[in-house]
Amino acid sequence: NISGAEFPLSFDGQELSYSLEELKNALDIKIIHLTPTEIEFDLIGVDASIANALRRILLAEIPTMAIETVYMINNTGIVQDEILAHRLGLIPIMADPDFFSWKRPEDPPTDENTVVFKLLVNCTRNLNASPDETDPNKLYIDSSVFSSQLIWDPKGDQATRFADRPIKPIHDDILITKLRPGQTINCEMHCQKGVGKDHAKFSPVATASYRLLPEIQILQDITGDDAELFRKCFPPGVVEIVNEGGVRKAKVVNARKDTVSREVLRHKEFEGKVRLTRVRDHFIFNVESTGAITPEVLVSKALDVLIEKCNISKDALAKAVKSDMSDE
Amino acid sequence: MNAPERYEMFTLPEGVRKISIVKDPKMANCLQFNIQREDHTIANILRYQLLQNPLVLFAAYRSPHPLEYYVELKVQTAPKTTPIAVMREAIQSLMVEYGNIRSAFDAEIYRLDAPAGEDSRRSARPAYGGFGAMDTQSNDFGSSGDMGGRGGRNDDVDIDF
Repeated sequence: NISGAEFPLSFDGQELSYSLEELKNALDIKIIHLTPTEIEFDLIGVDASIANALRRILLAEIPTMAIETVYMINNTGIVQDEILAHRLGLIPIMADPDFFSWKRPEDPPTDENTVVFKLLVNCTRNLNASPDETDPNKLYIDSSVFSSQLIWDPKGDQATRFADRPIKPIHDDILITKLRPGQTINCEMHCQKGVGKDHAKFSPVATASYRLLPEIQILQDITGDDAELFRKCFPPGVVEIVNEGGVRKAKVVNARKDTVSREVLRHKEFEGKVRLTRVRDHFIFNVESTGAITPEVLVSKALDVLIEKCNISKDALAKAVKSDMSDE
Repeated sequence: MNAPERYEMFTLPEGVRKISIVKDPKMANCLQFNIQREDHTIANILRYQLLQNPLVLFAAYRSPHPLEYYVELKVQTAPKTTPIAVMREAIQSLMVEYGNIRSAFDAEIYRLDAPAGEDSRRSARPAYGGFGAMDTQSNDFGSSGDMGGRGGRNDDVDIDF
């Protein structure tokens, strides 16, 4: 159900003002939930395009560090070199990208733009295992290669710069590959700065999404047993039964908890009595970070990136107009 | 086989202008802005902001091909103003709007007493080292470090020439 619109890009109850001061008053941000890996916040009073741009930037244009080049010295395992390199690239690295500079393909790797990891695993047979043991973890030593076995090799002054925050994979229990006795993996990995647009491994968020606040409008009062059925159609906490003048009526108390299953529309009793819409300018953002950058810093950076993009467009526009004028 | 490299999505080659302007021969007061190495992210917000201006008669964008990384933004205005002027105003309003969102967000974080690592990091660092796009034209990392995202860009208004 899309709310009625007199002209495109409008909806009922929209803040239709062109003056910046009024728009500034309508804008609101509320942080609902903040943990070291996840943030849930409300962005109210902006248009969908602005919220979407923020989401796109969070996904694709905030730089992070990830393994970009893998130098295979020895790989006698079953997993092919390139597959192993692909998996290594996807491992999230706990390194703050602000401390590193960009590395172009023609630049030499320096301690300013590259982080070096080494991986050396050799799988051997466990001589202490019982003869009829079947679990490979007990039969062999180092048969599973985990991300904890990636060892950081500090170059230059990286050891002092990151003394209190050593660079390592964010999670220790990521299974990279499996080996059997006699197989070895020996490789050196170079981490560089990149953006999600280039490759998804550089994306700083596990995911960033938003949803619109649902709105349940009760057009005609729903009373008695119908009210009880109405309450059951929604997740607990969305609808409560209140007693008004001796009559039990259904009242929407917390539309935010609604998962919009539209179960009400399946029941004939509520035909014409309820309208399910969304509040068009209330965005509930949910940003889950991989861990390299805290989520509140992520959102701040995304907003900075957007402002910088607008700035670039402004400068480019000026240049274009200037050259047009000089051409004429 | 014919797919371009992924870094082409944001790297502006030498000699290519970021925005080129084409005058529409059939409509009056109408310009088409071809923005290179941009996508829906910037084009959609520009289009929305242009449509908020009552003097804009027509504003639309399209991305002609997903593998060619540019967008076309066509703007037609009433005779009272020019498309370039409204574009400038639109970009400026967007920067102010995002600046407002930024300050509102920072205020919320401050209210929640989030870990102060963010603020101290921002001032101690020498430069923000770019913003995500390996833009060969603006390689001066020092200048882009001055973000000014707190809505204080009001003094950085129109460029005179």
